[in-house]
Amino acid sequence: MEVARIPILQIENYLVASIQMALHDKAATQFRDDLLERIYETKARGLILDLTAVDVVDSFLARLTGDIAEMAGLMGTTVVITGLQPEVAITLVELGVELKGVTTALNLEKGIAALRKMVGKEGTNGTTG
Amino acid sequence: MAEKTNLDQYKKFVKERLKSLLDVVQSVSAGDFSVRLEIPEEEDEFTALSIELERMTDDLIKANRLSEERMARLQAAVEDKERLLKTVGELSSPVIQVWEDVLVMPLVGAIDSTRAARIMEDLLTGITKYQAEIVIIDITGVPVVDTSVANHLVQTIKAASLLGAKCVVVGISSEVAQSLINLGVDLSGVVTRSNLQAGVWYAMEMMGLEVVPKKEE
Amino acid sequence: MAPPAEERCIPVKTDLDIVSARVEGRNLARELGFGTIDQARIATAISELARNVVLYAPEGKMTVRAIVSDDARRGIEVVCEDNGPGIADVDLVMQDGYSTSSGLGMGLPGTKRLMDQFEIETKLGVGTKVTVRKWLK
Repeated sequence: MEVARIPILQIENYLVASIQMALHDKAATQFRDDLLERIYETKARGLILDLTAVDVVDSFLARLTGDIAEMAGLMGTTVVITGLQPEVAITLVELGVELKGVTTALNLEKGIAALRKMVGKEGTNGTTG
Repeated sequence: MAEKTNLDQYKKFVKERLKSLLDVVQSVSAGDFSVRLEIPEEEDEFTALSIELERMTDDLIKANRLSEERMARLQAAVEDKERLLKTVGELSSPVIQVWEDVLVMPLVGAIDSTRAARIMEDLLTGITKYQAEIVIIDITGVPVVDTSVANHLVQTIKAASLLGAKCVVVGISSEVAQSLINLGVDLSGVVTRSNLQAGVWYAMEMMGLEVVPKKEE
Repeated sequence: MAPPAEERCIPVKTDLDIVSARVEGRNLARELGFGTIDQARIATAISELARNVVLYAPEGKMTVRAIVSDDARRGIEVVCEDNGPGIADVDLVMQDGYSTSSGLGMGLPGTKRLMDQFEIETKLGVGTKVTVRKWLK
């Protein structure tokens, strides 16, 4: 069954993917594979995963996100997760799930600012904002 | 013959009067004060009893009304108290923006599970609303910091960091510090500073800001 | 005869059903008046339970229903039953360390933390039934 793919955009030297729908497991794994492939193709130094539209993050999605961050990291890409909703944050903490090695930012704007700080030298002259 | 008729009449009279008295007594004991005795003009053996019964019913009505008034006053007092508690609840975890991207949350008073959940919610809402990146949580005014409070604090800090905000806890007294260590609470990863001022300096540092005296011309 | 509107039953077999189950559960929670955060807790708990069924059993079903307590409090009850192998050591799977080390599924301690009441019945070779409830404040 053809799974609707999540669009992956490129902004500057970074990739941005915004999860807009309820992901079932197969779609989520497909997404991860698509992402890693795009990173390899574009050699992007940074990846922003935007979860603004996600209303439930269970242990599976949390683990998948951690996997993406780890695998992308191995390819030299820094991952920032943006847009976690307060109720999702609370649920994650209560569930006892840790998002290890993942930088988080409130929104896309702050996510890009964070990436610039961390990845820095490429394409900017090191100033913030 | 006349005597016998008198006796019958007397029995009838007694029966009737007793019945009306009984009706009233039964109604009153069932809480119905609407049935009142009719006290005949001519005095008879039952008049004294009837008058006293009526007096008693009046007293009961009065006592009832007093009791209802007291209940209404109590109810109003309870509602006032609930309103007050609600206001205190709303005031109890305010989130104040002191600088761009920097929030202060001063906590005062005891923190139970309900309040802790409220604090976490208010903090996350504040972070979202003010787009804050640093939150200074001031617990100077929290009298007891036990394992439960400490754990709630740690959870709140974790949730805040998922929203991209760093937290610094200030106002831990030496007693609180000692009891936390004795309780074996794991506060590793929690940034602390002694007081609000130190917390603000920390925030400034994190934001890459510094405060310098104005140049005198 | 259709079941009452306040009870919904979702078959659980594939990963698509996990999403269906939590959407139904979240909808019922919202209709019952639970706030956004509790809705998220309930949906996450349902997701965890449904995932266990998909991972460890041939199939199962999830029932979400509105409930009323003895002291007239309203709440939601989620019953997740499967015909899987059952759990050999319940105490072990209820330990935090166990669930995080296995990573996927078995998020039972976390599920318990998210809800107000948690009950589990399991029989080896027959299946498992988890019941969780959350009450409106």
